[in-house]
Amino acid sequence: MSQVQTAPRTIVDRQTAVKWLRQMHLIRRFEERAAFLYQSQKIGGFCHLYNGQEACAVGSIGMLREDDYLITAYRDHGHALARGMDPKPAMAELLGKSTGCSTGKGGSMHFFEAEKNFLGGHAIVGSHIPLATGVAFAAKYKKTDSVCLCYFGDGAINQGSFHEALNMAGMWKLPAIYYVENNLIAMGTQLERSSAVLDLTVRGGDPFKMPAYRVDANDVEQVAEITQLAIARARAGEGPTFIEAITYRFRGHSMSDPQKYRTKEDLEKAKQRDPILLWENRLLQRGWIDESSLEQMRDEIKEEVEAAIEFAENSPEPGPEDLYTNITVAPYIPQESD
Amino acid sequence: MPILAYRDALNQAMAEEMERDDNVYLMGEEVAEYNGAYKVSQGLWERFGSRRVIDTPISEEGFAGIGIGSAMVGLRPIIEFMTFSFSLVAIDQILNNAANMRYMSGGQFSVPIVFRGSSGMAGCLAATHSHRLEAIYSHFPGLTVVMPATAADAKGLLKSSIRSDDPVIFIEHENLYGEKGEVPDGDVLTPIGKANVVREGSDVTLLTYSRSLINTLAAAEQLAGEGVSAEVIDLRTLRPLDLDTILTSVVKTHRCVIIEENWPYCGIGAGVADRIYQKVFDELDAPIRRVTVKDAPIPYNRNLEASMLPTVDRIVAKINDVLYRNA
Amino acid sequence: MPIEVKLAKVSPTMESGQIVKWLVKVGDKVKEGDTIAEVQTDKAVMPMETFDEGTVARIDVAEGVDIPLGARILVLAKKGEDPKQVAESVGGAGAAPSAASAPAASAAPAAAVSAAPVAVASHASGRVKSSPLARKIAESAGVDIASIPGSGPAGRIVRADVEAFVANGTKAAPAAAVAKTPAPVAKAKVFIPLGEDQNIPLDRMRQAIARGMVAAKTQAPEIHVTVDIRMDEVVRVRERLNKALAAEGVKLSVGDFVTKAVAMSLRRHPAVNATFNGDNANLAQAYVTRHAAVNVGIAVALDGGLIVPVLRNADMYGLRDIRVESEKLYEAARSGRLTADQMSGGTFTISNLGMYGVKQFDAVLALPQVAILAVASAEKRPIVVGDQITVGTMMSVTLTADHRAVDGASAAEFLRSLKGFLEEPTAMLL
Repeated sequence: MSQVQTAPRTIVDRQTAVKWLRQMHLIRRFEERAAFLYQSQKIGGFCHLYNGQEACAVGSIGMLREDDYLITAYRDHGHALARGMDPKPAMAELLGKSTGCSTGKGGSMHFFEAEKNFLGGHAIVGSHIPLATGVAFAAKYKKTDSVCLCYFGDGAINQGSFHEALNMAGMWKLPAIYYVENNLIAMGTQLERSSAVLDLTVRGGDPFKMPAYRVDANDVEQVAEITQLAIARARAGEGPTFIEAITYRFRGHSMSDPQKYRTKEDLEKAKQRDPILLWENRLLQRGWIDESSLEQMRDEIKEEVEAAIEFAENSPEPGPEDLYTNITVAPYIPQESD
Repeated sequence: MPILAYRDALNQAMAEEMERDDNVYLMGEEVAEYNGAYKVSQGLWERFGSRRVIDTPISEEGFAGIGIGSAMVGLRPIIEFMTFSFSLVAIDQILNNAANMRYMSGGQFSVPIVFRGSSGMAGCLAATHSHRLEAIYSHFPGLTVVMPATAADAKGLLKSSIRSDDPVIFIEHENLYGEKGEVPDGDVLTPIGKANVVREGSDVTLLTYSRSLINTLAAAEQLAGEGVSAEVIDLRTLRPLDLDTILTSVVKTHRCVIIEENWPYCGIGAGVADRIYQKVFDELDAPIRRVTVKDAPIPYNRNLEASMLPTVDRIVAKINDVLYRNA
Repeated sequence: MPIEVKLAKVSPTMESGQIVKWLVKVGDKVKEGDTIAEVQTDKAVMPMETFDEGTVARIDVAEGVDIPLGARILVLAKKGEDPKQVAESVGGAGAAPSAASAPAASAAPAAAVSAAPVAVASHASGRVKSSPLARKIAESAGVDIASIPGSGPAGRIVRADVEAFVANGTKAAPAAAVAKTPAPVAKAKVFIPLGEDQNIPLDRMRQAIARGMVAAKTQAPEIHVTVDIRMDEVVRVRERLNKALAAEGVKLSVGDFVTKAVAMSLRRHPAVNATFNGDNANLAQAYVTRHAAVNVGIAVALDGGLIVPVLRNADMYGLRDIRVESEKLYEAARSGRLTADQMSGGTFTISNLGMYGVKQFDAVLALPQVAILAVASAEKRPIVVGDQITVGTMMSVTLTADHRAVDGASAAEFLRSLKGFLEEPTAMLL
């Protein structure tokens, strides 16, 4: 059932293509600045960067309708921005501010934006895969043709939740698209040390009676094409699709990762296939952009990200009273001793 | 008022709520075609069909998560655990996702879901199938924990739980399913967060919930014959606790015994006693005593199991302790 | 076999005791009937006798340590037994005396005391075991909790103990006081009480009285001023008037004259017909209200308490009406039919114990009123008139006043007026 896509085909118009390039640049710039802020200790806790994987989020989310849903794991900045989240609340969330996309209570791993049907970053590996399945269940239950796009890393498919959820999705023909972003390293464990088979489409497809595809996720157009296929299937009520997106993250698992599991040469080699470079070159070839508009785009993005940082830094911290807000819908009664 | 079994009261609550709101559905192991492992969902599949009464594979984590995901986008699932012992397999979904979602998302996503099922030491089920997990669930901000003791509350609280916009842990007791009681017809809701003064008294306050209410009332009755006037309160909701009702009673009686089918350490009684001590220490004329299950895993052997439970004798002994009647 | 002497029940209700003083030491020979120790019980210090004969081999408990009934306190070596060997063979079981107060013998290490299995309770270590509620009640009743014997586990003082203590009126803390100065006791008679102790909970009236009295005693600094008043004229006038009123069935009491005289005196001394309003913590905001009306409260004793109906505008009544109106109030009070109106608004209170033959007493203020008059019996006493001793009917009255509002001189001036009116009752006609 597994297929490997090779030749890119033009599947979006110029305007969308340029928008995607812009989004990829925005994600890259946003995260580079986030890394700097992390090292300046303005961002706390964990911070997992998406550098190198941008095409995967942009090419797939770019194919969704407004009434579709997406949900992802803890490496979630890219997906949020690809879905159109304003970088200001995104950056404010990283800084833990009350203007953040989760009001400063979620942080890097828990971005949410209900208005855009972005159901979050989720930090327990594999835990959100059943949630995605539930969202797809609801879409079908309510007799809509919305779909739910669910992203997770190659580490997550070893969790029981993955198998339980995909089994029910396959059995009930739920409109879900499961994207494993295989960056080949689950934190620090290479794929061959965590999976008995290296072709993940074997694990995600046949066992659950769903088609499985492998795609080169450095190529935003290939990602888009395969996503389009899966979406059409889901909307038609034919059930879920499993997609293995081969990608590579340029940075460590998190900000504290010494990356001893790979050599500098490996990394340099991978960077030659940087999805942004690939897409830029293709658009230049097609004559859809030129160097000067590219230059202008980069400058605008720099400004946009700096404005986001300024917004975040000038935003207020949550007040002490916010500790108890949004715990329950009903009035919350802290069960405290005094 | 009609007399119904606890089981049928639960069934009625679900049927009425599903009739009222198409977003309400029931999902779990054997809930549909088999009519439920304990027959709580008897007839619902026939009545509402496979779209709304859904059998699942044995995948507690999976279907708990499916329920939560669907609740995030507007459905109102009732997720049945065949017994709450099996919720341990789904505990990541309940604690990380259901309890935290609203908070983590800054109020953008709520999870109106009911996890319900049987619980308790139902007899010869041994260590893995006799769990009472209410203390664990009550520990977590974001969850509501409800444990009805009577048929009327089984119906009234389940209806309230289904209508709650927050995740509710609704724990039934296997040994109560056949208990009969008067149940109001139709749309009568028992409020969440309100304890019930089941028996009024002036000498000692007895706090309990779920099945232990039966033995607690028996102990109160026995002591009434000796001139002791015990006030019995069914907590009904364990989180949020109805502290007002508890304190009002303790301030009146100055003595308190807490009875639960739970282990003693970090149990419900431990938490409730602490709250009483902090609020009305100066009203107490004796230390609060607790009657709990003995601190051992639950054995298969019938007699050993029975010896662990809060029996009437054990309850009476602790009441006498706080009344200084044992000296 | 050596003889183990255990703490005996020397008081019927005791559950534990303390050896206040050992009267024997290791090596002493004792015989049946000898007093070996003084034991502090929940009631008093009692002598403890031995019922055996032998040589004291070991003393198990130190003076001042609480021990439960039945605990071994001393071991006797019988005739023919070596006390030293006995002491060694029996060691451990009982509590070893603390080094500080250990009598002569083997000074056991102090640590052994805490390790010993004897329940060291309540007052022993200076820490009083009591329930929180008991402490609260004791505090509001103004009772030192340490002076109350505890009936709970390990001597814990519980609510019932405090209530019994307060109800019995034994405020003087006999237990603790006695502990410090052991009564000299020789041979004790054993008194067996009739019936059992009763704990009477405070009913509402009792609670109200207690609250009021505690408030007065804790908030208001009192002064007491006493005068003796010759009542012979009142007695004569009363006799005459009562003859005149006999037809109406009205009979004036001495008290009615007092009420009338008090009311008229209050009219002249508004500083005493006043209430103090405010908080000691914030005297800048406090004020004294001198009342326009003279409303005299008259305390009426009831079963288990007292109540104070108020005779409003008492200064405007004649004696006859005072009698009639007072009688109505007393009757309503005794039958529990007083209206809220009849119990409020008092500006001054009279407490009259004349009918009990008391010589003199002090009343406690009825806050916020600044003064209360305690009226004792009118009785015949030798008095000095001129330089002659003669017999006169005398009555002592004592004014208790709130010194925050009323000074001694003002109190005395009020009493001088009162004395004048009563010694020359016709002056009240002026």
